[in-house]
Amino acid sequence: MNIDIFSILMTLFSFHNLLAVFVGTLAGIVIGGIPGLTATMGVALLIPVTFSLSPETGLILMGGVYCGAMYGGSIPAILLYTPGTPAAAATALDGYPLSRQGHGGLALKVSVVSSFIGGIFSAFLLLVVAQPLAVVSLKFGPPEYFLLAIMGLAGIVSLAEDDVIKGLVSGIIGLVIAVIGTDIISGQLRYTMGFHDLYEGVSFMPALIGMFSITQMLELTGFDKIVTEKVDIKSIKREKMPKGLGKFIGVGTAAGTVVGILPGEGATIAAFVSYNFAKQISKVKEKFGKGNPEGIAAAESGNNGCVGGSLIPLLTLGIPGNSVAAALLGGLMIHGLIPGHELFTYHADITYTFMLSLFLANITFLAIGTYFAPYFSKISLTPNAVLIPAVCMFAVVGAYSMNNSVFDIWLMLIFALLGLILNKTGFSTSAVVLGLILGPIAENGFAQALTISDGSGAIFFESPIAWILWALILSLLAPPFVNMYKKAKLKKAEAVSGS
Amino acid sequence: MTKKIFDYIILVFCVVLAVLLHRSTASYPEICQNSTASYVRFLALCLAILSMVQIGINYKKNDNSSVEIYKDKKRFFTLVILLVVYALLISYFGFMLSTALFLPLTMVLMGHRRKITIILSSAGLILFIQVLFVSVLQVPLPDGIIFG
Repeated sequence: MNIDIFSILMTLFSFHNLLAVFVGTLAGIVIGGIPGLTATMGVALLIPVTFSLSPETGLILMGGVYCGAMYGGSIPAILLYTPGTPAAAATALDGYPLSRQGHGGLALKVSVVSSFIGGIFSAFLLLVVAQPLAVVSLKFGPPEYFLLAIMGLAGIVSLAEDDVIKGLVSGIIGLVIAVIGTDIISGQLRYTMGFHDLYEGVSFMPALIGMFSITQMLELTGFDKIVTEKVDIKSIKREKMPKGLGKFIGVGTAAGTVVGILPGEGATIAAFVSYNFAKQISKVKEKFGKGNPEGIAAAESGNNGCVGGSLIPLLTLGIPGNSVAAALLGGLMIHGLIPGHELFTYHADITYTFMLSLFLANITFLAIGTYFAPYFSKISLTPNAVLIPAVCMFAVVGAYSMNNSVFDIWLMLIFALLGLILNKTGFSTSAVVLGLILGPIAENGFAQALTISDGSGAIFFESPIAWILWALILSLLAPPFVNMYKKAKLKKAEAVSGS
Repeated sequence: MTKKIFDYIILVFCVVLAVLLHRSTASYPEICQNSTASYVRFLALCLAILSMVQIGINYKKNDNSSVEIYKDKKRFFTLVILLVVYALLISYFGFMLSTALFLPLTMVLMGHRRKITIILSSAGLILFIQVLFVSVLQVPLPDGIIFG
C-alpha cells in the first residue's frame, strides 16, 4: 500500500476542501445546537448535496457536520437544559445547573475543550490503529450484544444514585416501550394498539424531545427567565478552565472511543457511560448533577470520542458504529466507495484525506467555540415567554421530521407528560430514554442468543468477552447498591441512638 | 397528593403492566417462545420484582412530602392546552399556518407584552424555518389535511 502523504495534504489544504471543513463544522454546530435536529439527520440530509461534489469534499463536509454537531449539541444542553442532540443529554445533567449558577461561559469552555480533546484523540486512533481495534468488535456475538446493552443500562443506576431501584425501574420501562412494534423473529405486531405508526416501534426521537425539551418548557412556565440575574459577559470571559479535569477528559475520551467502536452503541451511550465512569472515580460524587464541571468534561469528551471510534468499524468493516456512521455509510456508497480493504488501498487518498480532515474539523469548532462561547450565554437571558414557544416549535419540527409523522408529535406530547410525572416522583427520564435506545439491541442479542443455544441461558457466560462484560456490569452496579445499604444502616443506627 | 401516593400509583401500575406483559407472551407464536417471548418475560419479571422491592422500601420510608407538578398553574395548563391545539392545528392546517398562530399566541399568554418583540421573533423564527429547513435542508414539514 503506497500512500502519498504529500498529495493527500495538498488535497486536504486546497481551498474548496478547507471551505468544506469550515462550512460543514459550522453547519454541524448549528444543527447540533438546534434541539430536535441530530447529527444523523444533518449527515443524512447532506448526502444529496454531496452528489455534485468530489468524493473527498463530500466526505469532508459530512465529517465536519458530524464533529460540529457532537459539540454543538452541548450548547443548548448547557444553557437551556434542552440537548441539541441526544448525545448531549448527559452534558445537560451538570451543564445546566452550572449555567443556572451563572457559570454558563465556564460550562461552555469545559465543553469545547473536552470535545476537542475527545475528538482529536479518537481521530488519531482512527488514523493509526483502525484495523487492529476493529477486530475486537468483530468478536461480539448476540450474547455479548445483550450484555453490552445491559452494561449501558447499568450506568442508569449511578445516574439515579438516590433512587437506585427507581432508576432500574425507569430503564426497564424504556426497554418495555421498545418492545412495541414488529417482533424480530416472527414478524408479528406486538402492542401496537392498531396504530400503523407503531409498526416499526416507538421512535426514540419524539420520546427524547418530549422528555427533555417539552418537559423542560413546562417546568419553565413557573419562571420568567432561565437565569434571573444578569450575566456579565466580561466576567464569563475571565473564568478560567478549572484544573484537575484531565483525568475525567481522559476517562471520557477512552470510554467514548471504545463505545464508539462497538457497533450499535452511539454517542448518547458513550456520553452516559463516560459520565458514569467519571462519577465513580470522582472525589465529589455528590456534586454530580448539581453543576460539576467533571461531569461535563467526561460527557463531552465521551460523545466526541465516539466520532472517530464509530468510523473505525465503518471504514474497515462496513459496520456503522452508530446511526450517524450509518448515514455516512450511505454517503460513501453513493460515491461508489465500498468500506473495507479497498478504501485503504485503491481509495487511500480519499480515505486518508477524510480522516485527516477530522483533525481540522475539531480545530475549527475549538476556535468557534472558544471565541463565541461567552456570547452563547446570552441565550440564557431570553425571556421564557419567547423561549418556550420557540423551543416548542423546534421540538415539533424535530419530532416530525425524523419519520415525517404527525403521530410522532402526539407521541412527543405524551412522553412530555409522562416525563414530567416521572421526574417529579424521583424516577429517571434519562433511564427511560436510554432503555428505549438500547431496547432493540438488547432484544436482538437476547433473542438470537437463546435461539442459538436452544433456550439455554448458559450462552451468556460462555465467552471470555461475556465474562469481561459481566465484570464491568457488576463493577457498575455494586457501588450504588453498597452506598444504599450503607445509608440505610446509618439511618438505622441514628434512629437507635436517637431513641 | 403526596410523593408516596404518586409512587404507589406508578409502582402498582408497573406491577400490573408486568403481569399483563408476562401473560401476553402466551399468545406469541411457538417460534418465539425461546427467543422474543422469553425476553419479554424476562423484562416483566425484572419490572415486577423491582417495583415490589421499591413498594417495600416506600412502605418503610417516612416521607410525607408533596409533589409539585407545576409552579404556575395557569401558565402550565395554558401551555399544555396550546400544545395540544397546536398539534391538532398542524394536522389540519399544516405547519406554517399553525406556527404563525402558535408562536405569538403563546408568547402573549406566557406573559410577554412587547408587541415588537412578539412580531419580530415570530416572523424571524418562521423565516428561519422556511429558509434553513424547507429551502436549504429540504426537510419536509406537515402540510395538513386541508392544504396537503
